Amino acid sequence: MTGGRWRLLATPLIAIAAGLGMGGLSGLVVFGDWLRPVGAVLGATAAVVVLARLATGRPFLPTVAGALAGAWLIIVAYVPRPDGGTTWIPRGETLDQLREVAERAYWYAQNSVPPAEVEASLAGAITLAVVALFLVVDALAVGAGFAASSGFVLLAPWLPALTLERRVPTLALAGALGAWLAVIALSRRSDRGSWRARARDGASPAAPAAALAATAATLLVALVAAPLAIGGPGWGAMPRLTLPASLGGGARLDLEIDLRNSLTEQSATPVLTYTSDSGKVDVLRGFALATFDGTRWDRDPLGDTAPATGVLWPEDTGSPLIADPGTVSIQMGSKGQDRVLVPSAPRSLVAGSEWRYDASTDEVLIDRPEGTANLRYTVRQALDFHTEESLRAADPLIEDGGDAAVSPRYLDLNERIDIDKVRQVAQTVTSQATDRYETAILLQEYLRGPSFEYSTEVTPTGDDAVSTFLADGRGYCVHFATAMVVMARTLDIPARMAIGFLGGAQDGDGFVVRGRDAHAWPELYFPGHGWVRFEPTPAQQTGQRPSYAEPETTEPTDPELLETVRPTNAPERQLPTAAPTAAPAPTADEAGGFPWLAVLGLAALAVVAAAAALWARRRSRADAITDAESAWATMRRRLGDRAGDDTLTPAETELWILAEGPDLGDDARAALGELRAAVEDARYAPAASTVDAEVLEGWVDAVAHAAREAERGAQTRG
Amino acid sequence: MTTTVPTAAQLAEVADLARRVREQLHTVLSGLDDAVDATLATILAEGHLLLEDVPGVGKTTLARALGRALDTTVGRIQFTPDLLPSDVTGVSVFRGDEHRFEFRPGPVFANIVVADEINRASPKTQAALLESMQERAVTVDGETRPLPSPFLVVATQNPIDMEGTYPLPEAQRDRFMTRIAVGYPSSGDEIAMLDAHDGHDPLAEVRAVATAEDLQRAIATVRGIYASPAVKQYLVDVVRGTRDSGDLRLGASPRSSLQLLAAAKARAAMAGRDHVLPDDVKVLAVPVLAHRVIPAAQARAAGRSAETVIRDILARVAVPAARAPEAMSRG
Repeated sequence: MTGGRWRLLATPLIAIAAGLGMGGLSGLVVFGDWLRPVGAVLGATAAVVVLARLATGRPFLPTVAGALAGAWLIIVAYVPRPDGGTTWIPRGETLDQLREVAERAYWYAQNSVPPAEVEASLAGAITLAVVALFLVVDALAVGAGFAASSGFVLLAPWLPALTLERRVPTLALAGALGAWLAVIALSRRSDRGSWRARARDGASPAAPAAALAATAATLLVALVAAPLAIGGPGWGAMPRLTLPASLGGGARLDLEIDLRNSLTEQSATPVLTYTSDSGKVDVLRGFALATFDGTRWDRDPLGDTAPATGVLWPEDTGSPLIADPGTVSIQMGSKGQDRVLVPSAPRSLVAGSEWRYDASTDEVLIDRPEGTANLRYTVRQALDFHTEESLRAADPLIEDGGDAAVSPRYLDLNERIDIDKVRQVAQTVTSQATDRYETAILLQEYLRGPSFEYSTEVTPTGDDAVSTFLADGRGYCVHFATAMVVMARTLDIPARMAIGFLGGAQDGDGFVVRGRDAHAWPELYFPGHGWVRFEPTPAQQTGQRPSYAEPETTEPTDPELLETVRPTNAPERQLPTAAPTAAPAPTADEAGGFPWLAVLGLAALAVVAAAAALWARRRSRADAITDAESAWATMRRRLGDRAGDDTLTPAETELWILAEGPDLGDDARAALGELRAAVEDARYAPAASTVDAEVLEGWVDAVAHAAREAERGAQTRG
Repeated sequence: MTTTVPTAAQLAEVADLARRVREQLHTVLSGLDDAVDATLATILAEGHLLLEDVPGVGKTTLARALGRALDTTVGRIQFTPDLLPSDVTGVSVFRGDEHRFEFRPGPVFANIVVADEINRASPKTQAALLESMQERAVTVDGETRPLPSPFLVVATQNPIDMEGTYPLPEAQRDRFMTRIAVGYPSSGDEIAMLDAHDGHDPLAEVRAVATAEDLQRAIATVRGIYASPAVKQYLVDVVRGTRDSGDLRLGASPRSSLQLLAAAKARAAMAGRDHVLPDDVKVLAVPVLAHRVIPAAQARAAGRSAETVIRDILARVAVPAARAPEAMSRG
């Protein structure tokens, strides 16, 4: 049959669609050279399947051949011999090697934080998944003939991106979809004799069902998927469901994941809005963290809390803190946590009894079930509290042991950090500093310098995220802030990690802070003054430095010096583990909760699509005119009730058609007779004569067309 | 008995023969085309025919006209309670002059035997006829004498006036391939009949259009007709339907399957076809099956005859559409 050729064309298309499915891993892994061998193995497997299909007519034998070839290629490409050579011929020991690679890939996948650098074992696993996906889809679409339904399997690699709300490469998604549609088109083309006949025939009796399905799908896309995708106002009007935190619905996400999500997704969901009589605030802080184990920030134990009244500032500066206050009125969004966002300068709150202040962590807590959700509060903050002069003035106090005023945990350095190396870098960078302020500025400027690159495509690190970051030079705010905190501590400067939001963007009279404004920054301790924010993260994300932290002399840091400073013998990257990860995040809720409606909508869409595909499949099967029998079935289906039921013989059916309803006309009657004779011949004659499919289709079309015309005519007359 | 695939010429000959006979009978029995066709199919399928209906609708006329249209010998027996078996089969009489017994063949020694009111004779006499029908031979005084070929018994029976009759037991009804209820003619047909009988006997105008040899050849051709598995499946489905039906106390026997297929083959050949269609089975299902089944009491109480029940079964059994196996695995 003519179907042979479409299969050969469909298989490469499916391979392309499966390969493009890796686009669904966007944001989870870092794309790079490892894609090449994946493509090669996939291509070779597809070639084997095509060749096998040329050689055999069996539907699934090519799949088996492809599976064998794919498995061998994966072993050759990713499973080295114990001595490091290539495994050309799998032996018993190859199994052990294979297990080792699989375990490594599993461990790697478990322990890396996305987006993960893909090392060989993970690439092998991805290759295996892609090749398996290709084989399954190919067997389904080409072997079994379910071209349309196979799309649901093709959807699988995109699911992680879908559920995690990640961005995927549009071209890859479009390409995969296009390839899938092409496969359907090819399979349909082979099913039917000619499209012209369909076109001539116009809409089929079942068309209303298709129209209904299409309308439902369009509505779903318009009402559910599209507003979600653009984050537009239409979506805001729709209810969003939020799961309690205990169900993992939102509030307790990892800071790491959450911050990155906020940054990479460019989450436009408003977290809060505020008005201010003194312009945009620098930052609003929720958390301040002290404990860092090399890869992860942990929350500190809650100290003694006091009612949050009066001026909130842990340091007794001996002078009125808020002389000329700026007033900020904050309206929280529908997401909340138990930490109240406050500016990072001395501030006072108009607060109720459920508000508590923890001086040891400098955090404001609120004790009510919904946390800060929809909270409206006003905070007054000291403006221009930190100045270069006041900060420099802290030096004498430092020499007097002023740092003892804060907990020693702000100087802790976990043994997993390569302290000596970090200290060496820090000392080199700050060799020209004369006081703590200059030291801080030099550290900040070093990290803002050309050696470091802001990137959310962060590489997974070893146990020592700071050393890796210093060697690698790539990271985002958490990495920059962590590095500065650790470097400061190696220089015996108490430092901590602060997490909150940047000041957001002007919005009418006030400002709006969105999910993407989530931020982490270091705060260094200046005795007699308090905790001072610095901004080591490059400007592309954070904008300007705080006014007091502008380097006054633009003494350019010598690039060559920096090169030598930068540790060249970067720590051997063993199998990487988690990147720096901080405590439960204040920003967890800013993304607006898990979009259940969207998922439900997509599920409904999938169901509609599945039904449509099934229907199309059944239809296409019934439509396939290859012999008299199928032509007869098609003709009967298209005539519907007019063609009687199954208990009629072909001759009786013919009589029934001619007797029921208006006259068909001579040509159609003749065609019907021919068709009836052909099907009787095919069914009951000893040696059935074969009629060309095109001729059969012509008869079917003639009868169906005449029947519809006749009915239309009858209706008009009626 | 060899069966060969019939040639087109042979098929055309059968079709032509059927057409000629039909023409002749039509002049006598307007409106009885279905009965005539069933009769022809029965003779070509080597079966026997039971005509069951009220008196005066043309049962005997049909039988006699058939005898005339076919250039064959016709024997006629009027069954009465005192009819003896030897009155049917024949008797050996002593010839004094020659000092030996001579066999006088009875009326059953003919190509077409018309047995009128078969239920009026004693069971013994009925058995003698039915036995000869089955054996196609008569045994008298220990000597077996074959009956001529073709051999067709057309028995008539009046289902109304049953008093003093010996209704045929089921086992013997089963020996008739077909039973036809002639039925009253339509008004137009009845007027045509009056015209035909106006002043003369239309039976006298019936000409012989086929010889016994023609019939023999046609019978051989019928044996070679092809029945596809799909048709056999349909036939079996219908027959089994009578056994599963709650409206029937007794379903159709396997012998009826054989006879239904044979009759269907004859009908196919009469249409010049070399293969059986489900239509053949459908048309002949009532004549072949209805007299072999017994409606259950409740069906009878509901006024449902065997014929109605079988028509219901036909309206229920799906005609098999033999799809090519590869059609299912096609991608």
